[in-house]
Amino acid sequence: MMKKIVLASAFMFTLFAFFGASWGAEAWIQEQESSLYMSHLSTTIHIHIKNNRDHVQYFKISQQYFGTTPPIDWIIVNTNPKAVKMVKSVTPELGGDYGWRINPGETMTICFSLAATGSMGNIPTYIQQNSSMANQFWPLIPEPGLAASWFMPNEIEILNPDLDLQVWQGEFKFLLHNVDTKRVAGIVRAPIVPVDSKLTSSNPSITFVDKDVPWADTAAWDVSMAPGSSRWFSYTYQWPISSPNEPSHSGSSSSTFPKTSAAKNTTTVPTPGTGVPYGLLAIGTVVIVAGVAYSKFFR
Amino acid sequence: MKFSTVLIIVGMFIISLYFLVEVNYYSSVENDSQNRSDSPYLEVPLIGVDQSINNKSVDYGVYHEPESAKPGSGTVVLFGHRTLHGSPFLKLDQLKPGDNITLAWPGIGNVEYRVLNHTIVPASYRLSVEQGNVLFLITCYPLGSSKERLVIKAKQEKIYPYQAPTATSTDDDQPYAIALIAAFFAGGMILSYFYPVTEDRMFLIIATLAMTLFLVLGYFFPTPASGIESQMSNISNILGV
Repeated sequence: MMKKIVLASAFMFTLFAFFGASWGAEAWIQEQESSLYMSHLSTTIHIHIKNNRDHVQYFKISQQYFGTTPPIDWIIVNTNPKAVKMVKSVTPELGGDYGWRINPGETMTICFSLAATGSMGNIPTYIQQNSSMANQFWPLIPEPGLAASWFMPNEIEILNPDLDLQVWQGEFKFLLHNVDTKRVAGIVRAPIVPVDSKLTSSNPSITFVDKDVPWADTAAWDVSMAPGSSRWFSYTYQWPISSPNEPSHSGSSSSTFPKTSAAKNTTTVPTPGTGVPYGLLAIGTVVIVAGVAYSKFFR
Repeated sequence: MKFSTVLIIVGMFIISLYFLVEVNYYSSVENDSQNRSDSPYLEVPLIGVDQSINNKSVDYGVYHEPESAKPGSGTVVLFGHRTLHGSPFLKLDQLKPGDNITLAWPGIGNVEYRVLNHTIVPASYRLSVEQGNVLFLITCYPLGSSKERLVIKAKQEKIYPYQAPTATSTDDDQPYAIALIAAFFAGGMILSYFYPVTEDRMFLIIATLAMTLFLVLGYFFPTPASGIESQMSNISNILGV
């Protein structure tokens, strides 16, 4: 009899394990397609850059922006002074990388224009930070409107500390299309925003500056567009927003740990239980061992 | 039924509660293989933490306190269990000043933090969420107790463009629930088989089956086991263990 029960139990467990797939897995809200698509994204960038080393350096530009899905392929439209092709490129398939020769100690003024192509230009889309979050405000609907992507104008200083970016100014333009059959309205954010930069102008005027990405003042427009209509947008940023000597992205505060258990005049949160005591587990084990020992030795 | 049989069934029931908490956790944990890039991630390589952050409950793993800020815009507070629920903060006490912590936060970026210090506070402690750009990792202290809290404070350092984590440590969590149920079932059956009181073995087998079924229900219909945990903590406190 006992053998049958054991076998039946084993069968039941095997059956359960076989069908035990992923019940209970959580589903997150996913971002959906937009009715507004961007195209003709272009930018003109002016920079002042200094070579701090005692030998020649090159300031280089690539033709791809990786911060989106899919990445934006940029084509160099114009350069002043004229850029030269680099001996080695990260995007050879786009025609290679280009750069400018900067002599030791020289501060160079450079201007270049780029135009987005590939999926950005030919297949209507909107720019979104790579794998941007869809569940941030779960369970509320997280749709904030058209999302922005951002980059660091001074990233060159991190990649090549010998180059000192002194001023960066970039004007961006894009065309927005309403591909829906009805009038649509909502918030449109600047598709690409430099961080730690100041928005100096925009056309049309922005509705508000979105500070959701804390170090990027993202230009945002409240738009209402008729079916099939298009509208041009342009905006200009300048870097740095503050003194060039001030380090960017450094933590601004490390205030002291509050000494009281309820700090006054500040928002506080409780520290909920984050562990189950092992005491009961030990008791359960001891009780079982005691039961077996009793039945074996004292019965 | 012998007294010793009652003792063993009581002991098995207590242990099954711990199994139930874990089965609930592993069966309800998000399937990261599909949604990994959608969720923010906590990475602490030194103690092997590489886990998604949720905004639902500390019972689902590493939990972002909604009253606190997101990285870069203020004080970030994360809670995690030290025992059960995957124990994401099991080794949190091993972090030392200067150690590196990264929050990979979609829409914001990969934010690096540097550990400043750790503090032990009472369980009733209320933490200020207006302390600047710092990160707090909070868990229970000491291990296996909920009487105090271990608070790790880290200062924000650098921010890089977001890159979705590629490791898949939590992708393998799902089979653990089945393994735990199997372990409990096997343990109960072995105990029943070798139980010296032959005439009472049937009771142990029935109890094992009933509790295994209990765990199976927890697997298919997972719910946060906070109510059970709360009672277990209360009983532990009453017993002083």
